[in-house]
Amino acid sequence: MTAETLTTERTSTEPVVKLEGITKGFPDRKKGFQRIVGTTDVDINEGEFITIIGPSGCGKSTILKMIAGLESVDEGTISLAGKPITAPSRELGIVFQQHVLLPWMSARQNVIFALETDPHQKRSKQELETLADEYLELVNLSHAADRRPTQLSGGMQQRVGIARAFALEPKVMLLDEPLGALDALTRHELQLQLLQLCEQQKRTFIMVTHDVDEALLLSDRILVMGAGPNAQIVHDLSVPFSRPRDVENLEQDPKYHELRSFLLSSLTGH
Amino acid sequence: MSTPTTQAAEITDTAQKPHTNTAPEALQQRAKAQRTRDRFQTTGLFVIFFLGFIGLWHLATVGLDDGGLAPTPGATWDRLLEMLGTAFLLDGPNNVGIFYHLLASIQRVLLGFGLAAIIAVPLGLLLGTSRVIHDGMDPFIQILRPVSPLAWLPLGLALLRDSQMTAIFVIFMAALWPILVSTIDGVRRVNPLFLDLAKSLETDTKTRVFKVLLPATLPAIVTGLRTALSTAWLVIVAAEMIVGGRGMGHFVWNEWNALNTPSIVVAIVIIGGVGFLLDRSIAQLQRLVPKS
Ligand SMILES: Nc1ncnc2c1ncn2[C@@H]1O[C@H](COP(=O)(O)OP(=O)(O)OP(=O)(O)O)[C@@H](O)[C@H]1O
Ligand SMILES: [Mg+2]
Repeated sequence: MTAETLTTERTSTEPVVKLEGITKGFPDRKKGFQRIVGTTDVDINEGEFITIIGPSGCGKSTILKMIAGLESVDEGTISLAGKPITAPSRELGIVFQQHVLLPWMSARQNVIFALETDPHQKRSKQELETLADEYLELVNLSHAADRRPTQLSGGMQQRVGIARAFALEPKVMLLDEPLGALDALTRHELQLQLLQLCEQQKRTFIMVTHDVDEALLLSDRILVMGAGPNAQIVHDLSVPFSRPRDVENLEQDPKYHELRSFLLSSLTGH
Repeated sequence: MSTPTTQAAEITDTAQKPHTNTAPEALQQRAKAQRTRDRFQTTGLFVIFFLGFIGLWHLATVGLDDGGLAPTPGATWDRLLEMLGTAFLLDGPNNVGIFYHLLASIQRVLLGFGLAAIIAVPLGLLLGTSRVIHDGMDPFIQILRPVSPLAWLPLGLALLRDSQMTAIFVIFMAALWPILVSTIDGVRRVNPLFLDLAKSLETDTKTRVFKVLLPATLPAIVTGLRTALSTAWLVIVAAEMIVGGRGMGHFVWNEWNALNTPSIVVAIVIIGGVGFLLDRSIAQLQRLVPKS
């Protein structure tokens, strides 16, 4: 890649999401207050796929919730395209670990619900349906559009959640262990699907995961958090594999194994 | 993500050849036969219990030396036919058919119950959502809830000066708490992520309440409504014994004063049957929202 293509790709050098000196804690029964997330600074650039990885309970979900505007920061600021985030916004699409589909609506209606509640844009019924079907098609779920969440498998439920988040066309997608609750086979399948989607859909992604291979497959950058409480980011690794990526090629790359063992050892502390 | 290694490893596979399965039609037939057998047994048992019950009843009451006070099965049957024959009689205040007594009771119950639902459901949604308001109101709920609704009756008579209104007021007090408590509980049990989702979609309060909170709480609300309606139906009979006028409770009390016990047995069966039907019809509301 030449310097010229680099500059045309990155239209602005301003990061889309900027975490500046944020901390977060919760009331604690013993100590009165326990700081969970220690001072954290991160710049996330447009179009980047960032993965946060770290030991259980270190505060990954908390960070994601703060970026989503669902949780306030104690200190510091988080900004989205230069403006501080103070409330949830449709510019931030969220995919949760467990599916959060309204059980009384079909898959399609769940996607439509996300679209029709847009206070900035009113669409006709026809438009809503077409759009919803388009995004369900994107995750290969056209055949199950009329099914209720209880009639879908775990993997399908998660795909509806992903379709819904994409349908919002958010600036930034936030994914909190989106595949964490799935069995190994389904997870592997969805990792590949997610890879394809994020390479097509050119958005900024911030994902939390426990899975080192998933992180390496999808990310441009991996942030490794230390153990809590008062956890901080201890590594900020760039993942240099070219895109479009493919599992077989990746696994033959010695760099992949080097990064993988580095991540594993920094996570397990050995 | 690791792919299987392509080494020439020896794989032991001891799976048997698939069996030829029994045809699905035969299995279906078998299940159907089982169902028919079960239903036959249930019906048979019911008939046996029923005849046994009538027999015991007969033995216990016939030839009892109590001046004919105890209702015998025969006398009750005669009375039932008589009451059905005059069900729609409306001849002066002291000669009213059982249908109009029943109608009066149902009307009071539905009015009191309806008013309670209109107030308790929105209040429950509010109290379930706001911890602060809830904690402020909770002492009132906890103190008033265990009070028998009948305790309000004299107060109702004193303040409302109208027996009809008092009966409705008593029903209202009986139905209010089950709906309120169940709704609050239901809201608390709503998946918090549903509310996070609603917030992240920047939805307005109206959408949040009507499209997310209310449907998610509906099963709990219907449970509360069912408890409330059956409680109301329990309470109305007692209340009507006191406030008088028309109604099943009043009827039962009147027949007791006339020492007409077979009528009371008939009334009990009718009250039970109608109570069952009321519960069934309110349970239909649950169908509005499928279970999660
Ligand atoms: N609302 C809250 N009140 C009190 N403590 C909280 C709250 N939310 C999170 N915590 C605490 O903060 C810590 C970090 O939680 P968080 O869910 O962010 O961890 P995580 O890194 O996402 O863990 P996991 O990998 O298991 O999902 C935990 O110890 C948790 O108990
Ligand atoms: Mg988490």
